[in-house]
Amino acid sequence: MPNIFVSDLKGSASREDVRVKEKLDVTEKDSEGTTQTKREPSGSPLSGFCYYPNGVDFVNREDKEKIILLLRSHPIVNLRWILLGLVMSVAPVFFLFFPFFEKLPSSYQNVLIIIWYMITFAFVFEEFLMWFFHVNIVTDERIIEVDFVSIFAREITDANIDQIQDVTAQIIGGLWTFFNYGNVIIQTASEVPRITFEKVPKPDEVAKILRELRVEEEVEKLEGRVR
Amino acid sequence: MDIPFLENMFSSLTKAGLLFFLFLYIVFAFLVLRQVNLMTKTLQVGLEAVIRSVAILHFLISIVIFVYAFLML
Repeated sequence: MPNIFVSDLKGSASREDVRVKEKLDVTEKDSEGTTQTKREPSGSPLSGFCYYPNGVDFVNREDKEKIILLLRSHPIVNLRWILLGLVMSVAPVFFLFFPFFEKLPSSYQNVLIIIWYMITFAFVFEEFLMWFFHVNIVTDERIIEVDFVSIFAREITDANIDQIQDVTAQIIGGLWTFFNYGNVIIQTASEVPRITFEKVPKPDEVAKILRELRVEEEVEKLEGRVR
Repeated sequence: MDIPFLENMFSSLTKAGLLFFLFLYIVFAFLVLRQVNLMTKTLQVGLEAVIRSVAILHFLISIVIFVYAFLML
């Protein structure tokens, strides 16, 4: 006759083991012994959210610094200038309705249309560059904001992970909720008191990753592994 | 008033204005090229070669269009 009590105890113990093992499986230890949530590397160069991006580098990266997140505004924020660019590119069709334009010699008409397309291209290209190169980077040591304010103005702001005091994920409005993007506001104890990742995809996940990094940094401090 | 003279003057002024604008556009395209160089040096994401090629092409096309306008107008 089987001993049901022993059997049950064993069963519950093994179930507990499985639960603990599942918890452990969610985390992994890297080469330096730090624990991180297991996530798959994701994101293409044109995506707004790249987790462990490949081949990404920035100007003042330290040798052992690992890039964990590369963020830029959600691609949907480009819709405004893409639509405007499309409208501008079909606009020359309507030039012929202007009597002034119709009376010009054909060579002048051609040059004016070419100039119009050059302006359109310049507008679209500039907007793309401003979006593409305005990035937020999260490394295992710090958070960095790279911003090209104007044609020649570059601004790089950074703060160490251990200087982060508070992280707020902000999603405002229907469009932001629908496409799951928002601001991540980071209060820091550095010279720059606030760094905002603007309109980035998955703000809650970004906040979660930052929280994990802060915990990890604390553990590193306690274990004396701070670089 | 001499109408053909006025027409010629208007045409010359328009031509000068357009050429001046195209010259300014060449300067702008050069600035964009410099800006792209600065950006790609600051941040390497994986599309630098494509973006730099587009900026160079843009600059060259702006020169070609200036020459075209100079010859055609």
